[in-house]
Parts: sequence; C-alpha cells; structure tokens
Amino acid sequence: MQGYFTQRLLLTIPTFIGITLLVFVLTRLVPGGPIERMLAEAQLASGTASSVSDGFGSQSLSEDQLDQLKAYYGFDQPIITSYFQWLWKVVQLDLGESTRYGESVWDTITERLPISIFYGVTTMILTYLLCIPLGIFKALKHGAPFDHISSAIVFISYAIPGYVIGIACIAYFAANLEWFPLGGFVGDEFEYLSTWDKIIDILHHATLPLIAYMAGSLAVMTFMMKNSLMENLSADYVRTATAKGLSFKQAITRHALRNSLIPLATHFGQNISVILSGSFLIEKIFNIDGIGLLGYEALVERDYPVVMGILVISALLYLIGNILSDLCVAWADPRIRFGEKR
Amino acid sequence: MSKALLTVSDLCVDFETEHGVLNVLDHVSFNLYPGKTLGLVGESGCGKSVTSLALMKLLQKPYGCIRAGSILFKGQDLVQCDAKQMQDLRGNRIAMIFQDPMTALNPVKTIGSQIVEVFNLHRQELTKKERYQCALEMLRKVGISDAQFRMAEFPHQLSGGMRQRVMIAIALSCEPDILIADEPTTALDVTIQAQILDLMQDLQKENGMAMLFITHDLGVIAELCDDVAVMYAGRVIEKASVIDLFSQAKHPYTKGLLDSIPQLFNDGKGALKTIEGQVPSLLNMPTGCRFRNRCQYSQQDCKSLDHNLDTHSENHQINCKHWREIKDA
Repeated sequence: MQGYFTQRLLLTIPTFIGITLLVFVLTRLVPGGPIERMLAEAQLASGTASSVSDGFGSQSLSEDQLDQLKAYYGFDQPIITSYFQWLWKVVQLDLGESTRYGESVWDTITERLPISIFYGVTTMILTYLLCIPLGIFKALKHGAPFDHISSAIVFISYAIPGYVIGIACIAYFAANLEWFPLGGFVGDEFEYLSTWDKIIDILHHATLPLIAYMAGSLAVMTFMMKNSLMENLSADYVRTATAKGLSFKQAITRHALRNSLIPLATHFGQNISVILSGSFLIEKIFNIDGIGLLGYEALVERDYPVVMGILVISALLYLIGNILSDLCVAWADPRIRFGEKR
Repeated sequence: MSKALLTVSDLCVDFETEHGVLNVLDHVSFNLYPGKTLGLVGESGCGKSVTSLALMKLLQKPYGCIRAGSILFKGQDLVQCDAKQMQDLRGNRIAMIFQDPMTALNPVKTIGSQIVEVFNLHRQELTKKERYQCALEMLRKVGISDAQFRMAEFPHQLSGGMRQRVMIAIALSCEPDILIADEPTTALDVTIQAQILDLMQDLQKENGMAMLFITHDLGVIAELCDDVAVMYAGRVIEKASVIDLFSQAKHPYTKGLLDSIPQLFNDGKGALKTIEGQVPSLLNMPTGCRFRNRCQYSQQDCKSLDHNLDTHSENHQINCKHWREIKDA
C-alpha cells in the first residue's frame, strides 16, 4: 500500500510538468500578451489626446523600452528555457508578479484562497450532510410521493445552472424581500463587529451563494446515494443479514450503508479540487473576491503569471484529490488494497 | 414417524405486480421432521425459493404476501407472528443458507464479525470473548483450516467453497431446529458440492435438525434427502419418500423429469428426452391441473382438478386424476 502511494506521489511530478508546460506554451502561442495589453492601454490613454493620424509609428514606448519589458517578463528567451526558469521559481515557491497589479502572485492568490476554501469546504460539507440522508430516505421511500416530489425538486435544481439560481435568489431574497445582502463576502462594518457577529455576518452573506453552489451537486450526490443504497438493499448479503435475525433497519445500518457509501468515497477527492477552484460566474454575481473570479479576470487581462499561479494550485489540488480518492476507497472497501501482491 | 417439527398447510402466496395479482404458491403443504431432510425439487420459477422465503417470512414487501395457510412451528403459527417474534426465530431456531456464497456475505465485513453477529443477536448472555470463541469453534466445525487467521479475513479472500462453509457456520451457530438450504451447492463445482453435502449431513446427524433442501438437481436429492416434494408451477404435485419417487414416480411430470435424466448406459446417440412445451405463465395459468397443457395423458376432466393430493400410500401422494391409469414405461 505504501509503495503504491509513493509511486502515485512520484507520478504527480511528470503529470504536473505536463499540465503546466502545455498551458505555458499555450499562453505564449496565443496572440496578445501583457506587453501588448500595456501598449494598448497606453495608446488608449494617449490616443484620446493626440490625433490618430500618426498611425502605428507613434508607439508610446521605444524599441529599447520594449526589449527591456520583454526581458523583464522573460519573453526574449525561447519558450522551453523560460518555462524551466518559471518552473525553477515555482519550486522555490515564487510564482512571479502579476503583470496587472505588480503584486506578488503568491500574495494575490493566498489573499483570495481562504474565501474560496470557505465556500468550497462549506458547500462540500453541506452537500454531504444533505445528500446522504436525503438519498437514504429516498431509497427507503422509493416510489412514495415524497420520493417523487424531492426528485422533481432536485432535478430542477440540477437543470438550472447555478448562476441562474444565484440571480433568481438575489432578485427575490435580496432585492425584493431584503432578507439577505446583495453580495460580497462580508458587510461594510465587518471590522467593527464582535467575533460572534462576524460569524453571523459571514453566514448571512454566504447563504445565497451557498444555495447557488449546492444546487448543481445536489442531484448527482443524492441520486448516487439513493441508487447505490437501493442496489445494496436488494443484495444477497442484506437478505443474509435479515435471515440472521436482524431487523430491516439494522440490516441497513449495519450492512447496506457502508457498502453504498463506496461510490461516494470515489467522488470525494474530485469534489475537493472542483469546489476549491470555485465558479467564477457565481463569484461574479455575488461579488465574491475568490479564486474563480481572479482566474477569469487574469485570463481576460492576459495576466499570465496569475493564470499560471492558479493553474499550479488547482493542478496540485486535482492531483492530490485523486490520490485522496484512492485512499478513501481503500478505506471504505477492504477488497481494494493497492499494490499488494495476492 | 415422529411428530412433525414444522407443518406447512395450504400455504398460498400472492405477488402483486403491475400486471395484476399472481398466485405464486397454491396450497403448498408439507411436514418437516427432526433429523430428516425434505427435498423440494422443481424447475426454475416453480416456487421453490418463494416457499423457503415464505417460511422465513422474508418475502419482499409489498410485492409478496402470504394470502392463506399456516406454518406451524412448535405449536406457533409463523404466519401470525409479528416482526419481532420472527427476528427472534430467524438465525436462531430457523436458519437459512443461500444459493450464491459469492454474494451472500457482506464484502466489507470480516468473516469473524459476520459470524459473531449471530451470537450478538441471539446469545446475548455470552461475553464478548465467549462469542468470539464460539464463532471460532463454528469455523473449525465446518472444516476451515487456520480458523483464527480466517476470522480476520474478508469474504473476497476466500474461495467459493470456503464461503459456503462460512455461510453454513453462520446458519448453524445457534444450533437451529430447522435449516432451510436454498440450492446451496448450485454455484459450486462438483467436487466442492460433494464436500459441502457431506458436511451438511454430518452436522445434521450431530444436531438432529430438520432440513428443507431446495434444489433442481435430482442427483443431490437422491444422495441427501429422506423425502421429496416435487413442485410444478406453484403446486406440490407429488410427495414421496426418496426411494418411492425414484422407483415408482406416479405423476406424469415427475416421470417426465426422471426420464429427462441422461442415462449413462445409453449408447450416447439420439436426442435427450425432454418434456414437451413450456411452463405456462403465472398470468394465464390453466384452470384445474396446471400441467395439463403439456401432459400427454390430459383429458377433459383435468380442468376440474384442485390442489388436493390423491393418496397412493401414507407417504406417497399425487396431484393427478389419472395417475392410476398411467402405466410405467
């Protein structure tokens, strides 16, 4: 088992290099970049003042300055060389500087990461807390009115994209009823509140976004739980358990339940990476300054150091998430023992 | 013959389906005697397994229900028992072994914990350590070597034969009065089958329990059973001692079954004998004799045959109007 996980961990290194190299090369190959963007901005600023008649020649930067900038960003080097320069910096935990803000990418990301982690982890916990009991209940009440009604609700929430649900929630609960704030992670007076009120404030702001986040994953998890439990309820070993003298309830809690949690365990690791990277649409709607929004804006603004920085973190999360999934499955299912010789 | 331990009389089971109510068991009656084995034989879908599940009252609700009849066990009618009473009986006084040992054990629990569970349910007076010791003893009894080591293993680490031994250990833990074996050897290969049958016979001698052995394998019946009940389409159509059944079967269906067994001393040429036609669907079962659409001796009055058995001798009963007229081939 240990050997297997060491192997998996070592394999993450080439995978990581593969992912980052691919995106790095792409950022170089697509037209446009930080320098072009700066030029465009500078031109816009001066263009309004001077006439356009000068045409292309009247660049606000000289060739020398351009070369300096290129050298500064490492654009004067061949792609592979500058990739490995970048990689070497990453190994030293230096993700470079944002071309937009001039701030360290590491700081920019870590500033927003707690917000995304808060939403990600809360969504995940709430989803599990809601979906597992709901799935179990639906499996036991299969075919009853409750089952049909909850299925309908869950499927509707699955069919509507999370950001649409977010907008609907804002329009009704925030704008119309004014039960919840319109957006943001915390209120304006956050700094002056007591600890308890701070928690309340965060939760108050988080309610609507969390609904939007959860809406999509609800269906998948609930039905995974329901189907998996129903499959196990008709399994032979549950019949064996009742033939031993267990009541139906005991047969479920002691035998069927753990078996039906196995597929959910497989899903666990992937969930981590997916929700930590957040959804920029929901973040945008609720004006939450999280990783999703940062990544989206960085892409639009060709802020490649930030793009690569976010990629580094989400790739690592994904790789670790996959290994965690394996661990979870091995923990839940004794039939799976990785790398052991039979 | 000694007093019957379990008396099933006129057991009727209905299944509610989308297509209407199906009469799966029609007035099934038989007795189980201590130390004796009754074989229940019939083709797939004739109601053998439903009978065994009905005895345990494990029919899947709301689809299957016992419509009429009684199951008397030590003066207690199991049909009238509530869930709690049945839970006390199951695994304790009446135990069951299932067909497929590969799926009948919980894959995520150790062998040991699955045996100990029976003691947890029915032998609460024992200490934890005693329960473990009893479970270990059971594993040794069913012939599993390295029992201590196997206790901590999971089902997938055992072979099919070993798993069926574990199932037997679970079933016999509380020394039940009745063991219901629902095709316990069907999923095993032939050498293992013989071992398991021997084991069951040995344990029966030791415990003096009654056994209901369900199978479609006439060879297994001949080897193991004292009495046989032949089922067809939800009815018992012939009951006899095992010797009578093989030497002088009376019902045309039973005769057909026996004729269908390939003979070792034939020259190996010619087609195998079969019973013509197919089992009628439960949805449109013929009135009267359920076998009459396939029976070469069927006559007009077969339509009025009911479930009652005609007595040939005390131990030999036949559900047929014309069995006397049919000559042995």
